[in-house]
Amino acid sequence: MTAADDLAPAPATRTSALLAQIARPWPVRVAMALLATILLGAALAPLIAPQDPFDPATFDLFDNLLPPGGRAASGGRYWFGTDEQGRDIFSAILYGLRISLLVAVTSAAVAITIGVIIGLVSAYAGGRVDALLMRIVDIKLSFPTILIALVLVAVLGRGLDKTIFALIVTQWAYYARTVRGVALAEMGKNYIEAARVGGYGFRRILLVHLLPNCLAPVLAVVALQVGGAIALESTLSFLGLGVPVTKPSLGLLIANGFTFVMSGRYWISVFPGLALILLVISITVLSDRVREILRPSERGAG
Amino acid sequence: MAAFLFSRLLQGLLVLFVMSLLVFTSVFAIGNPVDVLIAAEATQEDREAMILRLGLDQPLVVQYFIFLKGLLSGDGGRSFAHDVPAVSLIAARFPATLELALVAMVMAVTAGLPLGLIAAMRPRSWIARMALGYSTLGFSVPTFGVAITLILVFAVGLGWLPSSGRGPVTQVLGFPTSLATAAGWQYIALPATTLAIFKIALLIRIVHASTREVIAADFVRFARAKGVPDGRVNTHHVLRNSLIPVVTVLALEFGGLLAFAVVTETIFAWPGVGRLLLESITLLDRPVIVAYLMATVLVFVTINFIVDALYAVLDPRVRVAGSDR
Repeated sequence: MTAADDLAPAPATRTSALLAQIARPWPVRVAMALLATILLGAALAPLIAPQDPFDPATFDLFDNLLPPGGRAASGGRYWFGTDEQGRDIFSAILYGLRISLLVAVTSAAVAITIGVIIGLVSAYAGGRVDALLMRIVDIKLSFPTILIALVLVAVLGRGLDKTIFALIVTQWAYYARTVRGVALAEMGKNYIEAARVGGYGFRRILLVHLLPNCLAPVLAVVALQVGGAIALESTLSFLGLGVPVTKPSLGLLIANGFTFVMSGRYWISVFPGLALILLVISITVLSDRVREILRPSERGAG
Repeated sequence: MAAFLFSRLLQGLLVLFVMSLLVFTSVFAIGNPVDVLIAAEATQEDREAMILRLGLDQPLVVQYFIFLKGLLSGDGGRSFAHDVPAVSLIAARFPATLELALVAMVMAVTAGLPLGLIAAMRPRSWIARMALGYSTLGFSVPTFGVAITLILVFAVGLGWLPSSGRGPVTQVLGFPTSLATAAGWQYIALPATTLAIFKIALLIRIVHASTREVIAADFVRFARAKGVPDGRVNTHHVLRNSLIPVVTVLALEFGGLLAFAVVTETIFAWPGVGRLLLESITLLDRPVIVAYLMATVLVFVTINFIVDALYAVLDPRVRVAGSDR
């Protein structure tokens, strides 16, 4: 939300009015509260988590596979249960969230930069450059993201940086297409014409004139894409092709617990899964609402 | 029309060629399959014999041409791990994936199409609210989340349905299928539902969006103003126009189902091509990975071509607009 606040061209009163408008339906308010809670939990993980899941000295092997609410050997309670090593699931979720969010946000930031540049250049240059770039985007978008990510990981191997790279490759095209569409409409307006007549260079027109006017629709797509990135990262990690075991994201936690699901020890998978689903759903609800307000003509469109 | 289709066909072939180059170089340039395939205690001679047998001693360009030749003759190289042609491996696994995708698609259409239409035509009804709420939910939950939930409820909790494998397979008209027996249906129920849940959400969204757009169009309002009965407006004016994009999306999504099956097949131990891909990735079985990817590209290019052709037939405006794209 802070990014939207900073970039909104309107004065503060209009920004808060916009926020109020966004938050009007109750599901959106619930989603905002949920998202804030989750983000706060992830940010403050070292302070509020009872254990450090990366430090085996802080957990007790005698507490392994305790159900939710189980009593620890030391007297406390594990409200979310423990895994086979006696690790507190609640702490693991808080730290797992950090890794999931880190991967998703970093990859989204790089993908946005690449996508915005390609979109702007495509719209500004037009003609063959535009046709070529958009054809590449078309081809890229016609393949399922999971397949592209799988192949990249197959080729590159497993790791935090490689997962981020795979997510960048799967995401940039959406931004490129969105930006190009908006920029194309902006290109026809008088201020661009004026800047051209004024003799400004290609780079200045692109960055100072065109870019700021194309950002609002991009921001609307960002949230949706970040949600998608979180889901995709967790899928890769669940399949054992994402983040390394030393950096367990939510997807990896769910995968670890999956072996115990069959024997009825649901909590090791289910609680990280719930955290993941709540996170993605609240992002989706929020971004749907933002898009609805920013682009009233597309109301209800997927 | 013919010129339009011909240019699309050429484009498709170009995509195939570029993809073969891209897929081959990316898959073959990185990682050493010998390390994965051969036991750690193998001697240097064993290693060299293996490298020779797999053709890994050849320059990459030569390897590419061997691969291209094999591809054109329908061979596509031998699997490192199974020592049979990669294409035959995929062909053997494909019916299972196709079966799963078809059942999921039928489920998605029977549920998603009416729900999307109701949501668009009766936007204030509770069915509309439920359907749109569900589509947000189904869109957000990753495939494996759905799979685990279904397993927990129907396999572990209630014990109604099996959660792994394909069940008894019988030959029907020369094709192996598990749909001929009741037990087979029990096995396919959970994986197919997993795939369908996402597709239902998608269909509701697309049908809803495109129907809303058509309902607001001038020609529909004119028909209503003219006094055409509501039911007739819906079937003759709205549906005919709103379902064109739905048909094309469906075609593309069917290709997506074949690819998305990777996750679902892995979780439910469904013996299809998706699971084969994941196994091949972990074993670095390059020929199988490449053959799978090329088969997928072929499926996608073919579906794209059919969709383009369908569009040109259904909507004459596309032919004009398509010429400058």
